[in-house]
Amino acid sequence: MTLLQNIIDRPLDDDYYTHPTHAPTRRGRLAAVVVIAFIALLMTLAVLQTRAARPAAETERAVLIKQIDQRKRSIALRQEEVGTLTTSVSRLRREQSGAEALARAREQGAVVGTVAVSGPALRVVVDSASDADDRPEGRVRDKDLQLLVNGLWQSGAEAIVINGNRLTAMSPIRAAGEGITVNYRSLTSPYVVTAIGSPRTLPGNFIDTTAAQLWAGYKENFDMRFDVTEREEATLPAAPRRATTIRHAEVLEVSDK
Amino acid sequence: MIAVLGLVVGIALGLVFQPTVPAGLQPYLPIAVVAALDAVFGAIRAYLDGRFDDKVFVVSFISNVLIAALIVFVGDQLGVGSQLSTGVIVVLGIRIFSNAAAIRRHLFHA
Repeated sequence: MTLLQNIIDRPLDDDYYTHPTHAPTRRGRLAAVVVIAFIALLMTLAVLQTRAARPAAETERAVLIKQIDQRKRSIALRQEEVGTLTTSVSRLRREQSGAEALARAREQGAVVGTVAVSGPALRVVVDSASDADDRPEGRVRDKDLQLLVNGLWQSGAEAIVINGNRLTAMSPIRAAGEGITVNYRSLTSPYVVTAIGSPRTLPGNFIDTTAAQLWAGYKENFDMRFDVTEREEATLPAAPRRATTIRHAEVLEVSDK
Repeated sequence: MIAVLGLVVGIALGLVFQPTVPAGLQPYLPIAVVAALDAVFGAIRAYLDGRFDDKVFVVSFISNVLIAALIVFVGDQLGVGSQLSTGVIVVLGIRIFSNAAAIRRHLFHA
């Protein structure tokens, strides 16, 4: 620690000790004043500079803080936007899928028979012969109606109604005692079968079917009624709910196709 | 009296003109200030000791400032500028304190 000791022992510049003292001169004083002025100038400068540097740093900091705040605000804004957009996307998706589902349901309802439909139709009116009570062959049986309906389906019918009873995929046509029921509802003669289908192909196709030929034979041989007319426009009602209620079949998988 | 005059003139010059220190010399400004302070305290003590000498004061101030700046410059070139600055400030600071203590003893006899 000789260095520190040295410094403490001889704090003055050596020159003050080695230099012989002499009377102060004018020049010397002037030089001292200049040096003191210079020292004062130096210190003032240092102080000024430090004080000038501080506001600069603070300004910079304030600007940075401001920028951070701005960025935070814009992030919050963006996130809000993202939230709104996500909501609207899911809403649109829901709406879209809802619309699609509705369209598909309508389409399938038309096929199954749960919605009313209208269109160009073929109207077939059949009835037992007037002397059916005496001649059982002249009576319309459930099988005859089944055959007729099957012939219409075969000819390209898209929807069929018998006396106001819309046929669905589950509609039975069967005999119940003396009468015939469709959708578990008894029919009264005459039996009016209306089928919607292409006005160009449905009548021609139907005439060629065995059903039509058979019925033409019934008309010929047993004097039964079998009138086929074309209608430009017919409206078929929807099948009642009880005819389309599913109780045991479960849907395995719904595919979009 | 003369010293106070010099002080006032220096501060006034700095405040009025506010000259900018060249960027290359800015790192040496604090060291120069400390060296100048040391010269001032040494001069005051020498004056109180009856040993003050204008020439010694001027020369010691200039050489102190130059040497301090040189040390810092060399340190900067070697990459240890801040450490050497610290060393210079420690040495000069010790001198300033001991001189200030001597001045205090002279003035207050305590």
